[in-house]
Parts: sequence; C-alpha cells; structure tokens
Amino acid sequence: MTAYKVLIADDNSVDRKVLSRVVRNQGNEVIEATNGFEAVDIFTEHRPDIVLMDVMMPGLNGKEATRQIKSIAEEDFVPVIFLTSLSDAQSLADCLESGGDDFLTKPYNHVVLQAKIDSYHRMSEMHRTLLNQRDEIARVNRHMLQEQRVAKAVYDNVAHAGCLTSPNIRYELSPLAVFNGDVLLAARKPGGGMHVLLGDFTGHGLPAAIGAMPMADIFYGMTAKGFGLREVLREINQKLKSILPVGFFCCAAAVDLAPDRQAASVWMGGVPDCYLLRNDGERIETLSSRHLPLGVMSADKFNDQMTEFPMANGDRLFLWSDGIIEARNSDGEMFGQERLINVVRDSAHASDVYDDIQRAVDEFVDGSEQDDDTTLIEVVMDDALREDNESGVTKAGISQGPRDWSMEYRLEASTLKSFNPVPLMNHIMMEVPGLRAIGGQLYTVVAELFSNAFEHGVLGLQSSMKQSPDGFIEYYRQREKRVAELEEGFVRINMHHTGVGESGTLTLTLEDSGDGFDYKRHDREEGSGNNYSGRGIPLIESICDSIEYRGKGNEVSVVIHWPLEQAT
Amino acid sequence: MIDIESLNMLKDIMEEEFQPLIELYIRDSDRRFPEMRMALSEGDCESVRMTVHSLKGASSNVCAVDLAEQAYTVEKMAIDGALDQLPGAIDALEQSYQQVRQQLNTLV
Repeated sequence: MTAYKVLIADDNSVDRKVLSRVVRNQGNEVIEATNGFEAVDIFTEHRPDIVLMDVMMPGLNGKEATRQIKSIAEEDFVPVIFLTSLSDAQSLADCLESGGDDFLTKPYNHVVLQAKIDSYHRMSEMHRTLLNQRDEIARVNRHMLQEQRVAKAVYDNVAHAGCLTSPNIRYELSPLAVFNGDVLLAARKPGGGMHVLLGDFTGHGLPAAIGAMPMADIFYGMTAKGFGLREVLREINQKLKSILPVGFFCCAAAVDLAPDRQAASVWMGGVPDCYLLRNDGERIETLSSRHLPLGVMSADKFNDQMTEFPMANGDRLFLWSDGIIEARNSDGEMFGQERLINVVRDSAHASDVYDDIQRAVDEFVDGSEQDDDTTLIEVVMDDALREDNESGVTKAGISQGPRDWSMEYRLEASTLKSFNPVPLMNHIMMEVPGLRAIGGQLYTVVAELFSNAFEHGVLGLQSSMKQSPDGFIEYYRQREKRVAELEEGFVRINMHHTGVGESGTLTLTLEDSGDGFDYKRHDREEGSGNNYSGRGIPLIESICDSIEYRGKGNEVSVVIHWPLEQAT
Repeated sequence: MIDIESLNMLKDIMEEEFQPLIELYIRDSDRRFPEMRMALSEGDCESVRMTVHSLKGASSNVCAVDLAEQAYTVEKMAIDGALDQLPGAIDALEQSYQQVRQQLNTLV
C-alpha cells in the first residue's frame, strides 16, 4: 500500500492520538497539528496529501484553516475532510460549504475512514494527471506555434511575394494563409508578361503548408528561367504527385498574362468559377475549372491544356479559393457563389468589383469568429507589363546556353519495350533558354512524333483503328500485346539546333523501322478531321514551320523557329 | 460506565500507546473542571462549551459512553447560556468523571 501523508488537526489531544494511531495503523504517514494555525504552517512545510480537520478548534477554527490551506494549495487538489461530532444535516452541509471536501462523524468508523482516505487519494492522483496533461498540452501548443513561426519564416523566404506588389495586382491573403493551405504566387516572365498562380491545398496546418514550398520554388525558378506556364504546371503537378500523400492535392488557378498578345491563358483545376470582367463593363465571362487539381494525375495523364481569353488593357481577372465562398456568418451560413456573382453584377464599374467583394464579405461575416482565410486576387491587363524590366532573366539570359548542337539517339526494341525517351529529349532541349518558353508545346510535339514512330511505325498499329470508341479500346489492347511480343525494331531520334542567341532553329527528325505509309494520301485526308487519330497534329502544325515526311513514310522531320511568331 | 469491550478494542489498536493515552486523558480531564468553573464565574458560556465539548470527545474515545452523553447535555446547556443550571450540572459531571477515572486506573 502506498503511504499517504495525512495531516490531522485536532486540539483535543486524546481524539488526535486515537485517530493518528488508527491512520498510522492503516499504513499512512501522519503529521499532527494541535490547532488551526499549526495546521496551516505544517501544511505549507510538509504538503500532505490529505487533511483531516477538526471543525471546532480554539484560535483559528477548522473552517478558516481550510480556507487558508486551499488558497496555499492553489491549483493542487488537497482534500480536506472535516472531523465533527455534529450529525445534523445543516452542520454537515456547513462543513462542505465552507470549503471542505467531505466530513467524518465521530466516533469514527475505521473502515469508512480508510476507504475515504483511499478514495481521495485516487482523486488527487487524477487531478494531478489532469494538471500534467493540461501543462503538456500547453507546452505542445507553444512548441507548435513556435514551429509554425519558423516554418512561416522559411516559407516566406521561398514563396516571397514575387511581383504581387505590381500595380496591376490587388490581392488579399491571410498573414498565416500558408497554414490554411492558400498560396498566391506571381512572377514576371523574362520576355514580358506575368505568371500568376493561386493555390488551395487540401487540409489545414502543416500538412497543407508543406506542398506550398516546392510549388513556390518551382514556380519562381522555372518562370525566371523562361519556362512556359504549361511546363511550370506540369512540373508542379509531378512534384506534388510524388511528394503528397494520397488524398492531398492542390486546387489551383494559373494565369499566363501576355500583354503582347493582349490575351490571358488560364488553367484551372478544382477551384470555383472565376470571372473575367471587361473594362467597358459590358460583359462578365465565367471561367470554370476544366482540370483535376494539381498533384492528382500522374505525369503522363496530366493535362496542361490552357484556355485562352483575349484581354484588352484594363480588363480584369478575378481569382479566388473556396475560402471566400465558404466564409460563414454568425449563423453558420455560407457566403456562397450566388452572393458573389451578384456583387460582381451589381458593381457600378469593373474597377469597383474588388472593393465591393471585400466589403460584401466583411459585412456578411461580421461578428462571427471565423478564421480569416479568404484569398482573393485581381489581375488587370496592363500594357506596361510588356517591358521585361528588372525581372530575373533578360535577353542576355536567353542568349546563354547551347547554341549549335546536334544529337542522335537510337532506341532498339528491348529499350522501346519499357522506356519512354520523351522526358529525356525534352530535358536536353530545355537547356536552350529560348526553347523553355515553349517547353509545353515542344513536349507535346516530341511526344506525338515519338508515339507515331513507335506505335504506327515499329508496332505497325493503324491509326484508323482509333476512329471509333470501340476501335480506340481495341487499339490499346493491340498495342499492349504487340509491345509484349516486340523483338525487332528501332526508333532513331535526331535533334539539331542552330542559334544566334535571341533566335534559333530546331530540327527534329525521327526514323522508325516500320513500313512507313502513303504520306501523300495522308496529307490529303488530314483536313477531314477525325477526332481520335488526329490528336496533336494541329498543335504540331501550329508551332512547326515545316513537317516533312521522307522515304517510304518512316521518317519525319519538323523544323521549329523560335521565338514563335504566335504562341498557342 | 465504561464499555469494556470497546476499551479492549482500543487497547488492541493503541498497543504500547494505550497506557500513555489513558494517562493523557486523565491529565487533560483533571484540568478541564477548574477551567469550566473559571469560565463560568466570568459568565463565558462559549469557553465552557468548548471545554465540555472536548471532554465529551475525549471521553467517547476512551469508551466512557455515559460520561460523554452527560457532557453533551452540559454542552447544550452552555450553548443555551443556562447559567443557573450549569454549576450544578458541572458538579454532577465531575462526580461521574471521578468514577470513570477510578475505573480507568484500575483497568490499566
């Protein structure tokens, strides 16, 4: 049995001696006090586990001594049991009201006495555990806040404000937005124009913040090096896919603002509808998500297709995460898409919309204790963005890197079975700064050319099979079978680049071991537009200056001059 | 007058402390009567009450149940401030105590 330290305070020495003996016989340690003052002093010095206190004592009586002891004990739970010969209900109730925890009537029943001592000891233990846990929680919480501050500092260094301070941007972002998963990034492109990205990671706290760092790193790094937004998104998607656990992803809206074309290319995945407002106030265009969020699809299935909107100077894009739509008022009601579109519609002029939205949301949530996690950005088309002023890579940067080079890569059957050379080819081309800006398109061109050479050439699959949905399935069934059975064949890729720094020419030639095809006839039929086998060809045509089939149709050569006269 | 059976139980509990306890009881109680009379002469019923209350508790501890009972009636008189009844009651209480004292002395 655990020895409890029991303080017995009783001025009646015979009573005290008997009780003391009984309590000691039960295995406890006893300290005696002969009056109230002594009880308080002894308590302060010895901190007993439990106090047995006579009610009637000369000088300082039991009730007053108890008050003092309870105040000394502060948050520690020290049970005080009053000893009394009084047995009427009111006297017993008085004992408890004056701060005692229980009473014991004389003459004492030894069994009840020990049971009470044990019971109160358990309660003290419980109380102590509770206090320890409370302190532990407070400590952990302090530690967590400290960690969040450090993480925030690191994040701020990585995801610095970029060019969010540009005159053509207005935005609202909670100071601790990184911990509610919202990210806002903006960077000037080396050749003029701007990339803007609004991200909303699933979840809250550190899990939501963790993906924001590589995202910002990739966004700023690649934009500064001249990569196109499609390539940036592709890279971010791949990175998030590989680092985030299943079920974690990032809803995003990304904008490539191109003042030279007076257009904006927009990619939206999993974010609520956003709006494009014309400066003349005539029209509101709704932009909807067409893609899955970043970090969901594997690299080969990721769709980097952007939607282009003409944007004149003064036209405004409004992007937001779902925080603004899900902002709640004190009744728990959500702000909602409908209120949002009404605010936009009711604004007198496009230039008022930003303030009107802020005011409407503020008024709506007024008084409710909601976390401020509304992220909102307004991007205005501005001709001044054409100038590639102070931003990272300038024309001097573009003129660096490899200029005149060629490379040949021949893949034999055993390699073709399981290896996709497209990322490697793309990587080599991306060493040329001028090609980075069209990285996304180039990737598609190389992928398409390689797929034609491998599937139609080496594997001998007929593209015409893909003209019906059933044939499409059959095509891939056949493809799988033929890849498994493949023993002979090759694809030869030749890349040749010449450049003068600010412009250059890339020639890609692919030859395969297949039988070729009647390209003269194919050329004639290409215009008929079939939906399944013609994928990628319009894009190839749009950025390649020439496409030439050679020999029996098993060799194709495309030429791309950069910078593109008109990017897609 | 003394519950012998209970006293034997007390003896078992207290062991070597039994004799000193009885001696302590007698020493304490001996001086309570002059104390009570002194307080009474000053009309201080509260002091009388405290003292007789202590005597009551101590007596019940040494199993002098009748004496404890008698002390309780005196305590009630003190609470009521019955100054006229108290002198006689205290005298009677002392007589009972002397018998208990004698009995205890023979028992230890």
